[in-house]
Amino acid sequence: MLTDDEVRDLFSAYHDRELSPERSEAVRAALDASPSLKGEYGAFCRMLDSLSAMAAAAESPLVGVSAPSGTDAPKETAPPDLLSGVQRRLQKRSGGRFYGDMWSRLAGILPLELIATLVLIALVLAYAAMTMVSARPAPAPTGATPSVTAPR
Amino acid sequence: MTLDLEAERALVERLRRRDEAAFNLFVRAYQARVFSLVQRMLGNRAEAEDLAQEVFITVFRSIDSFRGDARLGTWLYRVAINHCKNRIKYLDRRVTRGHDALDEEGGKALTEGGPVMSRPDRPDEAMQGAELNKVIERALGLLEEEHRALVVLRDLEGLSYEEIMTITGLPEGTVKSRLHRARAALREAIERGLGYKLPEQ
Repeated sequence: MLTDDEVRDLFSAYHDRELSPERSEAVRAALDASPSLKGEYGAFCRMLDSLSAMAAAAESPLVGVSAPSGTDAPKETAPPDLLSGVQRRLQKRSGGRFYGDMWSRLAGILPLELIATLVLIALVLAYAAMTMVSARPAPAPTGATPSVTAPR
Repeated sequence: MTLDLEAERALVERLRRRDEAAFNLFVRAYQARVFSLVQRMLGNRAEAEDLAQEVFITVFRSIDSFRGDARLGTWLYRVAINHCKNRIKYLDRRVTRGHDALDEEGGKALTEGGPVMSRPDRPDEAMQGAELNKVIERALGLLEEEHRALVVLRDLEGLSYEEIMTITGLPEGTVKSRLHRARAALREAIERGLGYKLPEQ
C-alpha cells in the first residue's frame, strides 16, 4: 500500500499514463481509499485542464490575421511583421547579401576594398582615355575652303 | 502547419542553400508555434517578438548543424528554448525585469502569498475565466526556467516525453521527475495567486 506522499509524487506520471499497470492500479486504489487524496488529485487534474484550455484558446490557424469581429480572437498570434522583421535583420547583418537589392547583394558578396579598387581603376582608365584624346594632334580640317594663292 | 518527412527534407536542403523563398516558407510554417513558445517562456510580448526573430535568424545561420536525427520542428524548439533560457538569464540580471505580466502589485502578492483576486463566492466560476489565465501566466513566470520550460513544452505545447527529451537533452527519468516538481510548484503558485485552493474536478 502506497503512502499519501508516495501517491502525491505519482500524480504527474499517473495523469500522463506513464506508470506500469501494477503501479497505476496501486495509485487508483489509494485514491479510492482516501477522499482527501482523491480531491487533491482532482485539483491537480483541474490545473492541467486549465493549462490545456489556455493552450487551446491560443491556437490559431491563421497567423497574424485578425479574427472576425464578434468571435473570440486568439490570445497569442505571431505578429504579422515577424517575417519582414527577420528579413530586415538578415539583410542588415549579412551586409545585404541576403534579402537585399542587386547592389547591396553585390556589396555583400564583394569586399568593400575590392569594390573601391575597381572604382579607382575605372577612374584611372577614364582619365587616361581623356588625356590621350586631348594629347592627339588635331586633324586637318576637312571640307575647308581651298587656300588662296596669291597671283604671281 | 506540419510538413511531412519528404517535404521537410526538401525544405532543409533548400535552407542549406540559403534559399530565401524556402526560408520565407519555413518562417511562415513555424512562426506561430515559435512565437507562442517564446511568449509563454518570457511572459512579455515585446521581448517575445524580438526573440522569435532571433530564433529564426539562428536557424538561417546554423541550419548546417541540423543533422536530421530529429524532426525539424523539434530542433527548432530546442533552438528556441536555448534562446529563451539565455534571455531569461539576461533579463534576470537586469534590475528591471521585463515581465509585463508580473506587475509590481501582482508579483508582490504572489511572492508573499497574498491574494491577487478577491475570493469568489464560487471558486469554480473563477476557474473558467480569463482571470485564471492571468494567474497561470503569472505563476508560470515565477517558476525556475527549467521547470517553466518543461510545463510549457508538455502542458501548453502538448509535446511528448520523447520530444521533450530531445529538446532538453535530459534523460527520461529526469524529465518525468522535474516535470512532476514543476507542476507541483506551478500549482502552489497558482493557489497563492488565487488565494484559495484549486477546486476538485
